[in-house]
Parts: sequence; C-alpha cells; structure tokens
Amino acid sequence: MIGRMTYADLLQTVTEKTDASKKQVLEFMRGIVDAIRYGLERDGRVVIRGLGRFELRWQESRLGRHPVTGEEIEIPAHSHVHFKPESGLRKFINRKYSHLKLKILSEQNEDDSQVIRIEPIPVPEEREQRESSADEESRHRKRTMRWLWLIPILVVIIFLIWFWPKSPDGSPETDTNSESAVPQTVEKQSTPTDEKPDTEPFEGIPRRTHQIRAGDRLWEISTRYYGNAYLWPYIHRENAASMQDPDMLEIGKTIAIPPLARRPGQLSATDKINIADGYLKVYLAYQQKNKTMRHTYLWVAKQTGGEAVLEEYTGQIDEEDMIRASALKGNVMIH
Amino acid sequence: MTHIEVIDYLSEHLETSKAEMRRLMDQSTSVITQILDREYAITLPRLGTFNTKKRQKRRGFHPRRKQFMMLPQRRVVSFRAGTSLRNHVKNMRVGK
Repeated sequence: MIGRMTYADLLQTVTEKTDASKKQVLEFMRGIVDAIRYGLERDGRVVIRGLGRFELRWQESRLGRHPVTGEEIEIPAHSHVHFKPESGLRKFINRKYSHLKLKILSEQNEDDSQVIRIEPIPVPEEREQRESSADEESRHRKRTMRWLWLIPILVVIIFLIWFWPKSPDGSPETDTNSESAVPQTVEKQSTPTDEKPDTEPFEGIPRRTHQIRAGDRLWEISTRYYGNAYLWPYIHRENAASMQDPDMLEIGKTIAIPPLARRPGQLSATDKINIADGYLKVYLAYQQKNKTMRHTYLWVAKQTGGEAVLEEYTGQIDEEDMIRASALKGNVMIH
Repeated sequence: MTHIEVIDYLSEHLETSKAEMRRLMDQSTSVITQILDREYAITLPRLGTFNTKKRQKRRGFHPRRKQFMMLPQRRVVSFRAGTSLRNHVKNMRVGK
C-alpha cells in the first residue's frame, strides 16, 4: 500500500467518469453498502461483479489472550465477513507478476533464487528418472568424445592458413573475424596482422540495410557486412540520429549499413575520415556515459583520420582524455 | 444475493433505472480496481477497507504431484470489515 484514497476522492472520480451528479453517486455508493449489508443478512453471501464475493463465516468460540494484559479470555462465537476477490481482479492486480511461474523443488532445499517453468509432463518415479539422466549423460559424453579427434586437425589447418605465404584464402576479413574481443582491448594490442595484400579485384561494399534481431551487436553486424568488426562506429555514425546510445540496439528497427568505396584492407581516404568521425561520435557518447575506456576511441580516431578530424570537435574533447589517448601505442586495425 | 439482485435492489431503493444502476456499478467497481491497482487503500463507510498486500514467494506442496515447489511472489486483495459491519453481522447465523 502506498497510501489511502479517501471516500471523497472515490466519489469525485466516479462522478467524473459518469454523467451522474455527485449526489446521485453518493446515494449510489451508500446504496451498494446497504445492499451488501442486506444481502449478507438475507443470504449470507453477496456477489459484486468486478470486485468479488462477500460471505458470512461462522466462527466457533475459542480461547484467546487479551492483547494488553495477556490473560486468557474466551472469544465468543460470532460471524464475520469474508471477502473473496474475483479471479479477474486478482489477475489484473498481479499482471506484472504474470511471467513468474512455479518452480519444482527437490526434497532437499535447493537454491530458490530463480523461478522457472514447470514441464507439463507428470514426473515418473525417481529411480527411472535418475537412470535416464545418467544414460543421457553418458551418451552426451560419447558424442563429444567422437568430435574430440577433430580438434588437433583443425588446429593444424588453422596454423597452415595463418602462416601460408601469400595465401589467396587468407584475406584480411578472416583475420579480423577470428580476433573477436572487446574493441578497446584489441585496439591497444599491437597485432602483427596489420597488412596483407588483397588479391580480389578492387570493389567497394554497397549500401545495405539490416533489421535488428535479438542478440545482435554492432560489433557482429560490422563483421558480417564489412568483414571487420572495428568498423562498427561507422555504422553507428550513419544511424546516429536514431541511435543515441551506441551500446543499445532496438530490436526490430532497420539500420543503414553505409557503403565503402573500397573493401577494408584498402580503405579510401574519405572512408577513413568518416570512420574516424564515427569513432569520435562514439567517444562523445561514451564521454556522456562516463565510460572509462573512452580515450581509446579518441586514439583510434586520431590514428585513422589524422589530427584534422579532431579539429571539428575541439571544444568537446576532454584534455585529460587526449593526454591518455596520446600515451597509447600499437596498431589500429583499420586500413 | 447475486449481482443482478444487487442491481435490482439498488434501482428499487434509489428509484432509478436498472441500466443506469448497471452503468454506475461498472464505473465504481472499475474505479475501485484502479485504486487497488495503484497500491492505494480505499475505505467505504459502513462497509470496510479494501487494500492490497504483497505476498513473498514461498515453498508450497503440490498434493497431487507430491512435490515441493516455489510459489512466486504475488499481490492479494484484502478486505477488512469495518466496526459497523462487524457488529452488524456478529450475531447472524446463515446457513450454518
């Protein structure tokens, strides 16, 4: 309970909702109370649709204690009114808890922190259950064992691809893909995969759109469309008007994937400047969110776009961030 | 006493049409529901107080499945009869 609504408030609200006068509403409310009292007397039960059922219940005499003196007294037999709320009212009041479901507990007390769904299947005897779960476990283990021998072979293949000189398969796209991590950390690393000649003909990436689904991340969207996860601020920049927070995506919304004149690996100068601008925009957003790693975005912007890009935002860049950014070393993964 | 009987009783005593009474009845129950939904309590004179209370999640037993289970938290509507109504019904003994 937050507080109490007064009777006058109730009358006022009902009057506003109907065309009846205040006096009529007052008489009506008194009438309901009279009707309930009369009904209880006559039938011992009154139903008010929308609220519930009032019922008389008989209580036999019993022994109790006086709340102040503590002495034993007899409570005489009497009737009392019991109110049972209608199921519709109960459901309405509880609608914000409607997602919560029963959770089955085993005989021992398990942790009861989470509430989960019940399976509708009636549970068989315990022994059977244990056997079946053990069976399943061993089966599962066998299944995983069957695949284990593949792992060393895969490792060898990956090594071969990685170190193959001038391999046509080792395009920069796959390189950046395998290095999925948080952008901040990777930008600081000085990775040796800074350049690799792309043997494909020069071709850009056309403008596209992407509809956001649950679980999507800009980082992964960028990997999918550009083959380089580090270009995600570029996507954010294109959609900055409808996307305030770079860390939040709205499910179902369609975002634009901006075009690139050339593929990542040989990015054109204008694209680079735009990407740097995207990084600056993310930096400014993170400045507002007070993110600790925001200066890395400043640093990447400077490395890709040069000092000229920063001039546009001279007033908005924090000096301390600038100092921290200039202290960073390493290679940027945007070429 | 059913809902229809309540309406009949009201229209008879207030000398108004049943349709009018039904309209007023629907409106006032919905207003009371809204009040309860906003976690406010409301007292009707000579009747009692309607209120909502929170119930914590608790461990319960499902007698048919013979299993213990966690019942989730919920809100319940409570009604406490006022003194006037309590004294009024004290000595009534209807249907046992």
